[in-house]
Amino acid sequence: MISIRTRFRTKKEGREKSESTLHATFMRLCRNPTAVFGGIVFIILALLVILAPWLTPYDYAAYDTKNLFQPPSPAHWCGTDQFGRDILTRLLYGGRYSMSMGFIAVGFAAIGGVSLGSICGYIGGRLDDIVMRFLDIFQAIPGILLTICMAAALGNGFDKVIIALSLTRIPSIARLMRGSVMKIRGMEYLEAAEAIGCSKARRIIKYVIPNSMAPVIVEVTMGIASTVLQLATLSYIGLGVQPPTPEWGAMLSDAKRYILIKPYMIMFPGIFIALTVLSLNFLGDGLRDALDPKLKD
Amino acid sequence: MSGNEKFLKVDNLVVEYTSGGEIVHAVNGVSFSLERGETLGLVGETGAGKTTIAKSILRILPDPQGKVRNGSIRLDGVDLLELSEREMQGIRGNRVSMVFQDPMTSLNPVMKVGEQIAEVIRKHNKKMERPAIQKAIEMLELVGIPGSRAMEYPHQFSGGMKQRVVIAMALACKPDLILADEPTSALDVTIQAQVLEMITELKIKQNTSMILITHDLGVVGNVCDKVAVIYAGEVLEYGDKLEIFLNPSHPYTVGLFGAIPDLSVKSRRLTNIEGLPPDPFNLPVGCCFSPRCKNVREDCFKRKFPLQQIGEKHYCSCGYAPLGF
Repeated sequence: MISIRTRFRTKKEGREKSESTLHATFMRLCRNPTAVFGGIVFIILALLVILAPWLTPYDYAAYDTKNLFQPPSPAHWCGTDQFGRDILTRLLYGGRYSMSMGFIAVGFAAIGGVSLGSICGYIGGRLDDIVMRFLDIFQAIPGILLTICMAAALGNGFDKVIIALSLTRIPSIARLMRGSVMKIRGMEYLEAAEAIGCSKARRIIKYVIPNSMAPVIVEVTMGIASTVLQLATLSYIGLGVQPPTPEWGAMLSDAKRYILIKPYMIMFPGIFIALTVLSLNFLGDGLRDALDPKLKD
Repeated sequence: MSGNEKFLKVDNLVVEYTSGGEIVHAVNGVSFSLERGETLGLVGETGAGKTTIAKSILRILPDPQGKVRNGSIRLDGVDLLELSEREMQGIRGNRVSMVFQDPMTSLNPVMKVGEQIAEVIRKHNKKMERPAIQKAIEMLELVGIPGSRAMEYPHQFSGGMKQRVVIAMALACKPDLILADEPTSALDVTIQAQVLEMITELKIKQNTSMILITHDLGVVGNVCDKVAVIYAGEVLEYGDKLEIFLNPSHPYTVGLFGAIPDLSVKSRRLTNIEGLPPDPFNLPVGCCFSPRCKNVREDCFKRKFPLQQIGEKHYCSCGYAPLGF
C-alpha cells in the first residue's frame, strides 16, 4: 500500500522535521525582526555583564578622589560618580546582580507557579478553591506594595530580596498555568494516557505540563523584565541591594541628588534598565507569536 | 476461575453522573457477556451510554462526576470494580486497552509517536529504553507505518495514520480485550474500511476480544459476532448478530434498520424514528422507548420489561415483540 515514492519522501522529511516543536518555534521566532532585535540586544547585554571583569580596568567599589564627577570621556565612557568610581564599570557589575536576581527570582516563581497551577488546574475541587482564593488575596494587593512589604519584613540581603520578588510573582504564573491546564485537562489524549495505565503524577508531568507551558514561557520572559524593574525600584527606595554593591536601581537612587547638575549619572543606568526591559519584552512578544499554535505552518 | 466462566461478564451495570447537583442516569442496568475472540457491537444513538459503558470497564470515568452505582464487571472472574487503582493501572493498556474516537486529539501533541507507543510497553513490561522503542517501531510497521517515522510528532501524520498509531498503542501489549470507541467515525469512508479491516485482522491474529462501539449498523454487520442495542442506558435487544439482523424484534431496532438506505429499492424517503431520546435527567417510568414507539400499548408507560429470550441467542426487552405487531 505504501509506494516507494512515499516511503522515500517520508524518510527524507522525517530526518528534516524530527526536531519539530522546539525547532519550528525557534524558526518562527527568527522570522520576527523585533524578536531577533530583542534577542540580540539581550545577548549583548548579558555578555557585557558576564565578561565585566575582563572588559573594564576599574574597580567598582574603590574611591578615586582625584576623578570625582568626571563627564563621559575616553577614559570613563559613562563618566564617574560622586566617589570617582567609573559608572560603566558599576553598570556592568550591577547588571550581574540585576539580571541574575531577575532570572533566579523568576525561576523560583516559575517552579512554584507551574507546580501550584498545574496541581490546582488538574485536580480542581476544594484544593483548587482554597489555593486560588489565597492567591486572589495576594493579587488584590498591588504587586510593588507587596514586594516592598515583604522586603521590609524579611530584611535586607540578596536572598531575601529574591524571596520577596519570587513570592509576589507566583500568583500570576500559577493562575496562567491553571487556566492553561484546565484547557488541556479536557483533551482526549489525557484520557488515552489514563487508558494505557499512566499514573496521575505521570500524566501531569508528561502530558499536562509540556502541553500547557507555552503561555507560561511568555509570562516568564516578560517576568524577568519586570523583575529587573521591581528590583531597581526596591533598590531605589533603599530596600534592595545595599551599597557599595552596584545595582542599577541603587545607582539611580544615588544619582538622583545630582540629576540637575550631572544628568549623565542618572541617564546611563536608566538606559541600561530600559534596554534590558525592552529587549526582554520584544523577545517575549515574539515568543508569544511563535508559540501560538494557530500560526503553525 | 471456573471452567465455564465467561471471559467478560458485565452484570446489571448502573452508572450515574452528577452534574450541577442533578443526577444523570447514563447507564441503567446493562448486562452482557463476551467470549474470548468474540466481538460485541454496542449500537445506539449519541448519548445512549455506549462510551460510558466502555469507560466503566476501564474505570476511567471522569473522576468526581461519574460513579458506578451498581453491578459488576468480571474479567476472567475478577471483578474489575473491586480492584484498587494501582491494580487497575496494571490492567489498563495491558489486558484491556481502548481505541478512542478522534485520532486527531487522542495523541499527545508534544510526544513523538514512537515514544507514545513505547510508553505503554515500558509501563507494562519493565523494558529498558532501547527494546521498548524497538518494539514500538515493530508495532508501527504492523499497522502499516514505516518504522522510520517513529521519531515524528503526531501533527506530521494524517488522520488515518494517527488512528493506526492509536491502534498500534492499543495492541502493543497484546491485550485480551479491546474497547474500540467509534474508531472510524472521524475518518473518511475509504480509510474507515482499511482501519476496520486492519483491526479485525490483528484481533484474529492475537485472539483478542473486542467491544466495538458504533452507530453504524454496516460496520456491525462486517465486524461483530454479537450485538447489543443500547438506548437511554439500557439494552433493548441483545444477541447473535445474524439473529438480530435477520429478525430485528424491538421496535427501536426495527426503526434503526429502517433508517439504512437500501440500494435495491427505488429511492424514496428513509424512514426515521420520530422524536428524541429521553432526557437522562428525567427518564420515563415505563419502557424507556415508549414515548417514541409506534406500537406502544397502555401498560408500556407504566412498567419496564426485562430482557427475555425470544430466539436461541436472541434477547429483547419489548414485552410485545414476541407476539408480533
